[in-house]
Amino acid sequence: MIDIAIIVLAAAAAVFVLAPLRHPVAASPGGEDRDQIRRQEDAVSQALRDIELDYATGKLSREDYREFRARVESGTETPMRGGGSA
Amino acid sequence: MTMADLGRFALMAALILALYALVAAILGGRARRPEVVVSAVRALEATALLEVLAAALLWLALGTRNYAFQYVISHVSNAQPLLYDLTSFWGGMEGSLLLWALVLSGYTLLAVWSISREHPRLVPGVAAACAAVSGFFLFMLTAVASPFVTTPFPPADGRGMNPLLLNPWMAIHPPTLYLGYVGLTVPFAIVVSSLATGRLEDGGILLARRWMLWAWYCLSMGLMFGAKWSYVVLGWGGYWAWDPVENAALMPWLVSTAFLHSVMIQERRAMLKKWNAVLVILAFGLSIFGTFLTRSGVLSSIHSFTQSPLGAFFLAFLAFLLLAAFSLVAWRWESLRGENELDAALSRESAFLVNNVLFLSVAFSVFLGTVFPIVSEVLTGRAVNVGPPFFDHVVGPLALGILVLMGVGPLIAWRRASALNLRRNFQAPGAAGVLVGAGLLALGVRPPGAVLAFALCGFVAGTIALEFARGVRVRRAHGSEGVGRALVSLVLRNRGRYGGYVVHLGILLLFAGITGSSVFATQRLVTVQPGETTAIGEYRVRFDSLSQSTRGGALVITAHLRGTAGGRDLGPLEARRSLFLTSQESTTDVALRSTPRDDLYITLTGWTQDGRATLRLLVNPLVMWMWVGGLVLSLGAIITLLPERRPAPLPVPDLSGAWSPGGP
Repeated sequence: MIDIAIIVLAAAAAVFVLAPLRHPVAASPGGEDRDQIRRQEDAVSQALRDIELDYATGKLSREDYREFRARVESGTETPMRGGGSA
Repeated sequence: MTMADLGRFALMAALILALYALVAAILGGRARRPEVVVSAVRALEATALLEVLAAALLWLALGTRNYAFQYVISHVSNAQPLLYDLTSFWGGMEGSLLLWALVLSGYTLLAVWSISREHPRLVPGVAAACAAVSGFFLFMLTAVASPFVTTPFPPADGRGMNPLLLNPWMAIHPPTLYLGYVGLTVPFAIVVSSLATGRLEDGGILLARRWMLWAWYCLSMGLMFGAKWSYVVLGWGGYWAWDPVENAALMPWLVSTAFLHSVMIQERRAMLKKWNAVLVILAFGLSIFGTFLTRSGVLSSIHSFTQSPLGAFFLAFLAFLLLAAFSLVAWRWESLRGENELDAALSRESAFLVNNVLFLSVAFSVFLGTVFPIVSEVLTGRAVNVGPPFFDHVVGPLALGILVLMGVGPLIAWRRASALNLRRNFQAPGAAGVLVGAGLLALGVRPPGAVLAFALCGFVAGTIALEFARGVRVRRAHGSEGVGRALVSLVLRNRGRYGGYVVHLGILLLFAGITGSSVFATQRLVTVQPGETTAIGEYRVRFDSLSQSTRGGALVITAHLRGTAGGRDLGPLEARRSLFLTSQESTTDVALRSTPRDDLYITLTGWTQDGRATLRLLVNPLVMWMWVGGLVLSLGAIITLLPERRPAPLPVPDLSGAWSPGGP
């Protein structure tokens, strides 16, 4: 009984694992780059929220607030800049 | 063919599939052949299923007390409750290695499935790294420490687990800790994959952070459960003894805590990329090192370590992993250069950097103290133990430094803080700290370390309260929300920040509990006759009688007591000692009365034929706050772990300063 179970398990595992090799799939570029752009937008938005919150909670002077906000908005300072492929 | 053969087959097949997954993931990733990568992922899925089968077979053997298995003989006995028969799965080396492999497979599949949606190019590397670690543990399970070794002449009864492990806290402590240990594999795999493939954008490290946060939370809970077990079961009155096994779990916790802070700098400023990669690798390396420490026998003696091949395999694997990972860091060194620079020495970034230095210093001190007996035995032939005083003296001041930073960090702005704003922000929390310190001095509390620690706790609590109050005020200034609703909205919309503050609050309570119980604990050792009353602090304890019974193969001696606190009756108390006749072990049941102020903790240490009892009485102040701190930490971690919604920018404030506390 256990002999049969082992044979069935081995065969099932081999079929399950090797089956994808019979059907080559083309790589689908593009989606990840879109996600990367979305993540960068999120990061910029998050950075601006941090600056707003730091200012609103009294941790930043008005001058620093203006400077940091301008830096992030102009792209001079980009949080989470994608390093891209090395 | 037997059930054991099926188990051995499952593990061997799982090993072959893990190795196939490793090779297929690397080749498929390099050749950009998705079908090969899919095949590798399927191999990992099949590996997981086979490990589930192996685990089910082992559990079946344990649950049915099948003494044909050596593992069952060593960890199960007829007198042992079924629950502990089942939890003995992770009570021994072979079972715990299987648990490692099983948990890793679960994490691997979760990681691959979730990463494939947002970072498909990282999948081959993550699959390969996880398959490599999985392959190592499966190799150990098949070649070195198989749980499916059988005996031709099964005995009628087994030896059972060490009675000290027969406790609900010990039933959940190891799996929770393993969830943390093993969870560190995924951030490691993500970082390795990012480095290997050159996909070095920060999204990868943030993904690693999510997994690291989960692993950190599990490690935190594992440490708390272990401390609770030590407190209620070992009967020595404490919860942390700087035991190497405890230290093994503390080290990766410290390094992952450092990472969770420094990764925020990368998230906001695209800096510290190299440092964060190194921390992730170190945290994972320490998790393997911890498993090596606890499983190789090296702690009892270097000789027992050399007698088993297990330790050598672990060390070789650890060396290979660290060498490979740090080589990748060196290879990508230039690409990991930060994209911004520190604006000012007085900034939150700087506070986080000092925080990292302190956490790493504590981790290094703990590492040094833990391996010192091993190193000294190798060099001199004699193991020299540094003991708790070393750890207390080195870690204590560093921990106070971390506490200072917990209060300072949130008050400082990112990028640059002005002296004026800093002064204004420090006023209220600073006053809270001074008030607490002065209040304690006025009450007659004299130990300077304790006064300083509690004053700092007051300062940090003031910081947290101020942060919440200001956040709520800002929200209310922009809408018609009530205080409660504004607080909930504030936390839910800034889960990372405010969840982190809740975690800080939990750590603060933990810190207060540790300080109170370690500095102000009092104890007495007394031998009393029936009817005699003894006093400790404001407690009076009357010893009524001794009784004797048998339970689960143990002779149980019970001291029946009655306590009062300031004249208030605490009801009956029982302190027990159980003597296990077969294993020659003994366990302690503590008589414990816990209040927010202190714990009355009584153990029975001896007795005489004429009915006298020797009792150890302790009053441990503030211990309950440690466990409350653990719950608060859990709440904070859960808030932080909840996925964030895409952030909507706050309304741009009116720079006239009419409403802003930041004003000119």
